[in-house]
Amino acid sequence: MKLGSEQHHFPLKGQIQDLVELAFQEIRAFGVFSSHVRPTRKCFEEYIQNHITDINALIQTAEEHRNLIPGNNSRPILYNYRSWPENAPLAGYYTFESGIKYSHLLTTYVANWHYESSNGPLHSRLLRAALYVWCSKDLNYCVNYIFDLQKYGYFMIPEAIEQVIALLIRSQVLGKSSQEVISAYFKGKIPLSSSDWLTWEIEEPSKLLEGLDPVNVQPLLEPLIFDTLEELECARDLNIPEEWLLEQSAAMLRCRTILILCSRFLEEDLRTVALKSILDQFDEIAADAGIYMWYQHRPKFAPLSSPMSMQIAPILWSFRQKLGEEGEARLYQERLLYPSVLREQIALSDGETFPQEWSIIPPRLLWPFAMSINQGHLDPAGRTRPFPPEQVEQVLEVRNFFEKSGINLQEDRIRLLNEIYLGKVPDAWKTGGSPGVQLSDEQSTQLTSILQESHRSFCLKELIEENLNTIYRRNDLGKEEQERILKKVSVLYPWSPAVYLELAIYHDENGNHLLAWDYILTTLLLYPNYNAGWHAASIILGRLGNDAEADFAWAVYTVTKKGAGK
Amino acid sequence: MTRPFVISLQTLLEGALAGPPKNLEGHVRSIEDLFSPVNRQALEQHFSGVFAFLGFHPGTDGGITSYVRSGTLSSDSGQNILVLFTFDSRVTSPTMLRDQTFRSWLTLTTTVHPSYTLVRSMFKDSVVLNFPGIIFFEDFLQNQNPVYIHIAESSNEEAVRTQMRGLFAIANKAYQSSWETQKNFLDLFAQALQKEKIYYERGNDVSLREWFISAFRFLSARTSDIVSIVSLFK
Repeated sequence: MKLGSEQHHFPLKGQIQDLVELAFQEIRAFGVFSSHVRPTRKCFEEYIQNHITDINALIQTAEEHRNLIPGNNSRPILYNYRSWPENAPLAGYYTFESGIKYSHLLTTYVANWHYESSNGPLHSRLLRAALYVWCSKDLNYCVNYIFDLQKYGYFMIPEAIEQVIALLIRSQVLGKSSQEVISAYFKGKIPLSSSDWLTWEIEEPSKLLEGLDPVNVQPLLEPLIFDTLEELECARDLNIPEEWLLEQSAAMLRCRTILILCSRFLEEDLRTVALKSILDQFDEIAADAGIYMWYQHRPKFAPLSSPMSMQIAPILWSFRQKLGEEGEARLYQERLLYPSVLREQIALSDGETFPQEWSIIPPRLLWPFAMSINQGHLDPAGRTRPFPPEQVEQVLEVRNFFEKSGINLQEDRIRLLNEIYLGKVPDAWKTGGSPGVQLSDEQSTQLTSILQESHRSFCLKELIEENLNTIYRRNDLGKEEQERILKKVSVLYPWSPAVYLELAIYHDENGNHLLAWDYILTTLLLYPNYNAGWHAASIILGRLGNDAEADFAWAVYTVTKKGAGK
Repeated sequence: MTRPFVISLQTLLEGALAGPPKNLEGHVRSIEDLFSPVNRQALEQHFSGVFAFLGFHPGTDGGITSYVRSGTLSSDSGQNILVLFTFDSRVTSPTMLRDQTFRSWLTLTTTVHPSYTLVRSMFKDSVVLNFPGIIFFEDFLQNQNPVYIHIAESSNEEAVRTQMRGLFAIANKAYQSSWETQKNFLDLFAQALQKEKIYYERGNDVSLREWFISAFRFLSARTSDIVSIVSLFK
């Protein structure tokens, strides 16, 4: 028996793989979210340096010591110039035989985003990959592959996707066979080796300037539109907040791309009424991504609420006003604003209240959301609710500001804090009464900045000093008290890796090792280099009976401990 | 092959009547508004052909149910015939036909099945109709005498398909002829069926406008719908 050899060929798929898959979900989300709101170069670089570097190190270590390989055959792959297995296909879908590892894929993601961040849309790599895939299959397969690249977040500028698909559609005039089409891009020759594909110069054929009979587009667009409808149906069935947020965002992108292709290639008089209705629906769904813009103007201390928690109530109100009892059903079916699992809750609460996990940005997507849509504002000690204005008014810096500004009446101070700190609509707007004391723009900015600091110090004090330290320092804390504190901080501070670590330890010690592992996954996604997290991970994995992975986690713990000591 | 997605007739009508793009303003609360005579021109422009309504029971008419689920209905009927049928939920957005579709009506008896009930309502009580069947009519708004044909082979999907394609071919020919001669489609269709020795029933002098409004009300009360298979291109 050659167990060692067998182990090499059939690596164990276990909890570490789950962690890496979740890390890839996050990576995918960054590409998808960034396709809606492109991050600044600074945000992008911070994301890579402060987070992706750690994930990359973890993946490399897991590949080396655990022989970790991807397990998802529906995952699209795309080459990069820095690290790509010699005999692996350059594009298409993952196969076990390709020898492609997570680290290769991550390198592609980062290389693509880096290029886009510095130079704009990345047409060349996408077109080369598309031609490669078309050469081995057909145009339909190739276009689906490009849509999958978009869905998997490989690009953060959607224009390249839209333009390359449009170019491919027009390329049908270049020949009847895929070989004819491909050779037209490479001076009449077909690339044979990977090296040919990577190095031969691509020339856009002059024949593409000719028109295309609209009828040629229909067989291509029809499955794309039906696939989109299916994706919308699938998204509505999701019941995990991070999966919903990601798929909703990806579906919005897809709807937009389909609309662009239809407007470019499909004349109005060729569309049936059903298609018109479908495209109108896609238009509304794509437009709902406008909510992401709100985050640009969000004060840093405002709770990081989910798009749905801010968006649904006013839209549901409009639908009910217009359509009466049927309003909720039509909103649910015709837009992509909430999953089926929330229908009852939304209908009953008029879209005002949600379970906690749906009302916030899911912690497992905090990094990609914060570093793209939320403009780089990431606070693991962020609070889900603001403090009472009366409490904030007591902060020395806030009091000093009001005194210096000559605002001495308590009621004026509270009113201003209601407007600036809580973001409430001024009462005067509703009543038409006197607006009371007003701040200049400069004063508003100054107060906002003071509030930001005060809020953060309040949060840290509450989270660490008043709660977590109680757990850390007191060995005699009873189970009930521990549970009470954990429940409180997990509701108020759902993006804190320290909170999830304590939840994991608590549940592990109480015999619920699987739930403990679930919390550790969130801990390590929020903070992949958290050495205390790896320490707990090792213990939990051992208790789950996964000794090899427990040893791996222990090894990571010792490495991160050294890193933390430096 | 067209994939089997269905969409509510209401959504189609709203889409036809709304300007581009249709947003919430294009939604219609009252079904009467959709069938208002003021919309005649827009309806004729977007639904220039004729119509058919399939009366079938998913429990007992297995061949038709499979045929509908297969998704070829709209390509079989062609551009000139919009085929409608009842659906066991509201589908104001395109919804895929799946194996579980129609299940909630499986247990209903044939005497109360909405699909049968709606077909029967176009005929005098004394007329005995054999189900399943398909009823043809010409217009959303005008009074007319619809033509009903019983579908005999209802247990075998392929046999149903063959029979339906045959009927659609006759109906399309009659439609072309009515368009060219400006004669009544239903009369020409009935004559053609007679010639082919296919038995049919002519309905009452029915106001289709009133029939549709009653049908939508009847189905809305049962959170169900009148739908057609989605077809994307003309």
